[in-house]
Amino acid sequence: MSGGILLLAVGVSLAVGSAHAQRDPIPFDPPEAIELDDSRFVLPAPDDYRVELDEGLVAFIALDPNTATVELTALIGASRLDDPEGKAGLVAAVAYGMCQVEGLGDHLYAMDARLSVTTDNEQTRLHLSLLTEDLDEGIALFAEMLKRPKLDEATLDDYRRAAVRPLWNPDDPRKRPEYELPKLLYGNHPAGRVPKEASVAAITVSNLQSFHTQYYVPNNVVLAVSGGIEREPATAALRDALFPWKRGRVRHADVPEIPKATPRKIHVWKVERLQGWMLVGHLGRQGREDEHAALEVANYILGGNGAIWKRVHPEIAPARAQGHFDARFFVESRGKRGLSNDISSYVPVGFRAPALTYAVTLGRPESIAFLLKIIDDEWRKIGEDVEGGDIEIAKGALTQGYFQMRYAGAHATALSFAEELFFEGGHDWSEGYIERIRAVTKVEVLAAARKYYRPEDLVAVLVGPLDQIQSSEHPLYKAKLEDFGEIIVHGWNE
Amino acid sequence: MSFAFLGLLLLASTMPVVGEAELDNGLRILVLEDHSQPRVACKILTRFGAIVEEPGRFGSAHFLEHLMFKGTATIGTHDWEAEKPILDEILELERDIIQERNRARSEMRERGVYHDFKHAETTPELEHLMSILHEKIIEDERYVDTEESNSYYQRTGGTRLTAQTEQEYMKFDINLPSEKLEMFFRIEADRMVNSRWRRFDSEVGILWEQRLGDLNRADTVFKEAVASASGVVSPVYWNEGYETDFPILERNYTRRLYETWFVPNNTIVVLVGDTTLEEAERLTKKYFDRIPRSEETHDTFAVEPRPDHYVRVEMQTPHFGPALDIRHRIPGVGHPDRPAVELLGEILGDPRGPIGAATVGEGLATSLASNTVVTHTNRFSFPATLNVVAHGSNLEALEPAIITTMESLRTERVTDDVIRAAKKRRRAYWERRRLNWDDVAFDMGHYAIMDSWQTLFREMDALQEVTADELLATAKKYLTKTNRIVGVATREPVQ
Repeated sequence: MSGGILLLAVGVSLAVGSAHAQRDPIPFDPPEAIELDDSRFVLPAPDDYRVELDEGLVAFIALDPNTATVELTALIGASRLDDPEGKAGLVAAVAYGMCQVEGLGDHLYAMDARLSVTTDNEQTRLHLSLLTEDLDEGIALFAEMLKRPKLDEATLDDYRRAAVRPLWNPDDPRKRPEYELPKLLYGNHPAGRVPKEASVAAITVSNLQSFHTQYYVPNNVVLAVSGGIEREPATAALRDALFPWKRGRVRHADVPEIPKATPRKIHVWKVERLQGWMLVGHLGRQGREDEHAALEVANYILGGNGAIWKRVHPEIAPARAQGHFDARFFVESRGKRGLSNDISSYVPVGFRAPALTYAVTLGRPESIAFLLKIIDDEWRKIGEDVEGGDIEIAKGALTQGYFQMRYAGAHATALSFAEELFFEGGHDWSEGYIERIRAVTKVEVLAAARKYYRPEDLVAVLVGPLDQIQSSEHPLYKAKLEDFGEIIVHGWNE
Repeated sequence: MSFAFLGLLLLASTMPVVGEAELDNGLRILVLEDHSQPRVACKILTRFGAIVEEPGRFGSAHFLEHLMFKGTATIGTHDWEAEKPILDEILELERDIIQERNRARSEMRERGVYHDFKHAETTPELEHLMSILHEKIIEDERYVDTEESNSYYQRTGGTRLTAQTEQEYMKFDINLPSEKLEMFFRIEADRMVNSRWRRFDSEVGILWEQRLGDLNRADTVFKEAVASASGVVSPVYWNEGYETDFPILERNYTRRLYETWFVPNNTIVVLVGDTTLEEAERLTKKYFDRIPRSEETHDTFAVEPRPDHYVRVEMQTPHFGPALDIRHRIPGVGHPDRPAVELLGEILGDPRGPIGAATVGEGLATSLASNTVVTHTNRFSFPATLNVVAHGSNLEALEPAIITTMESLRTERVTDDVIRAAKKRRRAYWERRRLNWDDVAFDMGHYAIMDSWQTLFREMDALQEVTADELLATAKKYLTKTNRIVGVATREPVQ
């Protein structure tokens, strides 16, 4: 690191400039000397929250007696992978229909409820947040959206217009890499398809209705309910609102193999902004293998993100979940060099198709090439060596930090149990999580890193001022984009 | 208005039981117990922020927060005894560099060639000093382990480690397993008194990055322009740092800020979760008692004069608009009018309220929002604004629609339905917010900095009791033309 320090000129200050003698330090014992008790955390038992409703519908209900809100979430086993060939956008169109039920806007306004509906490669997710005093109205609305979405010609016309609207305005290009990297890595595989004019034009009302009939059935849904409602009345209210609701035979579409993307390319969308935004990754993991615990430890050390537990968008986890300041990416780019305010890596798990393993960062033009070099270098080095002390920090953070937070509060608990059942069919992974992480060895961390971080497969997406990025050079940290691979420039409207 | 507010103080239906204590050195502690989870949301807030900065040094308060992550004399160094003289020398060298710059500039000015100096910002002595400074910084790097200080939180299960500096406060946050709570007191007491500046120049790069991130948001410059036109002398209307400020950030100046303001009698610890006041007091004494009370800090001296003029800001840019940002100056937290002002703000931003009906409902606006979220202590006279932001392609029709409706609110009562809906939204906002202990701890600390933690809950209660007549009086008082700032952004290239 010697010589590798950014030294800025001290400017033309008008200050008097008197030196300030530093206060003498006040002594403290080393933090290691503090005797801390063992963890008081007790993993809640899913059976204490699980309610078997009728027709195969399972709900996890968690009471928080101190709140006047209720959170309702439905995880529906209908994903983009279920879109038929030539009809990309069908699953999203049905979800759109949920948001068109009669009087929805009036209900939401009257209750001041919060609604979100999302679809991705693993699920369709409906979430409604409301005050407890509106529970009856809220549950009725929730049931109406699930069971009787508005699936008619008018809805379909609206959806078609919305689905093909240009997503990217140069005013706010920051999220574009999160949209482009999956497309590049999944190619024409269903996991990477996005609705196009032709594909949404091919969808019919009949398609909507039969898709809904097949997938929106109680045995293909898991519910999470939490907040200011007791288990018994919540169960009764859900039964009243949702049933009769007949179970169905769900057949998910077969998921083909994903063709390998051409690696070591930098795909660029030019936009004249003050920074560039970058996502760099390759295909990741499907399902959990034995190495998963070791990989979580490795990723904590590399990119520091706890988003491994967040599966709202499994292929692109929320970019600003809980990171930490001591990951290798962070130290190399921010702590030592001041190149980027944010850089993290993620190893989410896909269950129906592989998720993506990726890093995300941003920076001013003269920093971008070196940031890419840091990602590339560290992606390789993490498989070469890790320090025992870093492994112990990671274990502490994962078991006492991120894992505990998954069950911190009624909503987190209900949702975590619902996700575990929905994605993994049970709670085995969580129940053994702490022991698995604690047992991870250095050899296992290195083996998992070598297996799951593959520099030779990396693909980069860059959105930013390419001309400036190529023409400017950092005074200390020199690199060229071409060092990573070929640059391919795409048109903004592509 | 004040009667209603005072009366409601007694009801205080949402007032929680909060344990309070104060050490001899002036450090205050607030504890809200909740044993439903074995964790504690921990905050330490200092009454310090951008309002103490001087023009030309904007961003220093925020930068100080970054520097306070660079370790202390006890953590973050491989060998403090060896590193200490280097850090002292770095401070001395910076002082000498500044002296040399000032000397050179004075010489130039005496010769009447000041501008020449601007084109040649160096002298042989300056270059000599800069090269020694560079060497010292590289020498110091041998001892630096800034990651160590954060690692204690990480290994003990700390999450949400972050910090924030606004105009009136700086805070450090961590959420810890309750059995690891002692780590918070050890780390934060040390941070308060023993922080040392390491990797200073690379951290300036991060400040720069954060500013560029702000500027990449299309509306940032517009918002800042309208804010800066909203007041005359109060620093709450100043921006928190321009890129022109960053190259002249100084170690010595930031250390003076640090040693002046980061003292126990200017600080509050807030804990929400699985702990008790007794436990918090014991740990606070164990780690903070050794830090002596210091000279009392002062408020900013700037008090905004009573506004008596109408202000209009027009911005023409290819990157943003068309949009309107209409502001009215309002009193700060703790003022008796504040609950009614908050409710009025909620109504102004309601897409189905009076302004919403006249704009969104008539197809003139594609979006409408209001906020009073940036709250400030009331001691600065008019320290905040109530903002209404609307987007729509036809500003010539949109602006009069909003202004006319605002004027009508000064003469006509708002309907009960609109008031009821607004009160419900505020209630729902708080019910959702208080699900998160970290948010509750922050709100309590923020209000304690501005006024008192009780005000947070009193204002919520008082807001629910505001009547149509009080709203009318509030609109009449604050929605006046001489209290108004209108920002207009049009999207077109500047010729």
